[in-house]
Amino acid sequence: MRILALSALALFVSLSVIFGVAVVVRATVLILPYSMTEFRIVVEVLRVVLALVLAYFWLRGAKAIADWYFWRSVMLRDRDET
Amino acid sequence: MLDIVAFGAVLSTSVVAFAVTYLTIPPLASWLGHRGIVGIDVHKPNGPKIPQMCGLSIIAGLTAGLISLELAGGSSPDIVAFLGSVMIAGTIGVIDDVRPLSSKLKPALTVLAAVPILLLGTYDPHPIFPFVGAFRLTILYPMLVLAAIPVTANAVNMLDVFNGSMSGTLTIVSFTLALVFALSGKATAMGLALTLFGSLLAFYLFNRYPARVFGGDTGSLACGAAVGALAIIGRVELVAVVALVPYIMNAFYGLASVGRLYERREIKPRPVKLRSDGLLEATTERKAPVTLTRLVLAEGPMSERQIVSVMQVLTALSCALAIFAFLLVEVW
Repeated sequence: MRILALSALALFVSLSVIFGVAVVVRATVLILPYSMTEFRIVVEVLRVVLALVLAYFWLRGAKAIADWYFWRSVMLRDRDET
Repeated sequence: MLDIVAFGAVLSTSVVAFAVTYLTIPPLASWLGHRGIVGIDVHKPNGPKIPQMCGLSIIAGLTAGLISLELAGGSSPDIVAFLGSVMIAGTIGVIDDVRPLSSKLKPALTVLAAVPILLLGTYDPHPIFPFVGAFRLTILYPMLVLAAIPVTANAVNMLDVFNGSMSGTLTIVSFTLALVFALSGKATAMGLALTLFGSLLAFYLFNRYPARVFGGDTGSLACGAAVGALAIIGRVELVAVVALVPYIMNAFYGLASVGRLYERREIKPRPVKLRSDGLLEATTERKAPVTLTRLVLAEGPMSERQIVSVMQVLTALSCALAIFAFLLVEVW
């Protein structure tokens, strides 16, 4: 069971990386197109900052799921032992 | 796809790397043991002392394999940049093994391992993503390279906690990257990945449960930098990220729990404890980091060997998804 649960977690993280990157890249291109300014470096920096912010929130979400799984499993384990 | 001659030439580099690593470990371990350069295997009831810093053999194997790759006609800048990154990260690992560095200084120093890639220009600032294609980052990409090598080096270092956990899982990752390079016809990158695979496989035979040698930070930082360099030189950034998902999960969960960069020895509330029956159990300390090991042990205690098996299954799954990501990139 635990391999299934952890595999599901790894699957979620991996698939959200694969598809999430596409969403993030498309979002940054849409919000910050190159045609917006002559200063390419500004657009590139803003794109990376935006991508990092989105990635950070995505990682926090994955962490919240991991925390939930861990503490729920510990609680169930303790209940079974008592 | 590679033709059969190119495939044979790069495959031979793996054999050379395997042989050199395999043959240098016993005398190196004996020498280190006699000089007291040992680490305590804390997850065994009697805490045996194991020769540390045997990651030097991985570096020796990689060097020999890369020389043979160069002789086989591989791209020189790629080989030199890869070897330079490995050597610099390995040197930082040696310093850390001899005189432990602080939790901030170690990642800061590993930035230096990215310098050979930047100096030799063995990168393409247009990373490729599925559904998007090449994404232009001409100005910022070099800065991302400076961040990528420390991230992979230290993420690998953070999962090197059990017998065979780093070497076993990275063997799977390096083989996957070699397969991806073979499918995309990148002969030199495939040679680099196979060289890493050969060295890691030989090291794993000594490092698996019950470990006869430890790689130390010398081995884990060098191997982590090698994977990061492979991703950049071979232009498979996203594929490598997906293959390294268990490492990323472990590193980020640990960092997010503690709230800062940390060294394992600094963490007082331990995430895992050794029971008298030899099994490992997750602690219920609220302040202990929720690492991958703790997640594996959440539902109950396990032996060290079982934990490493679970990590290898998770890595195999991530690598299968990494190949899926590669195919998506190719199709789109």
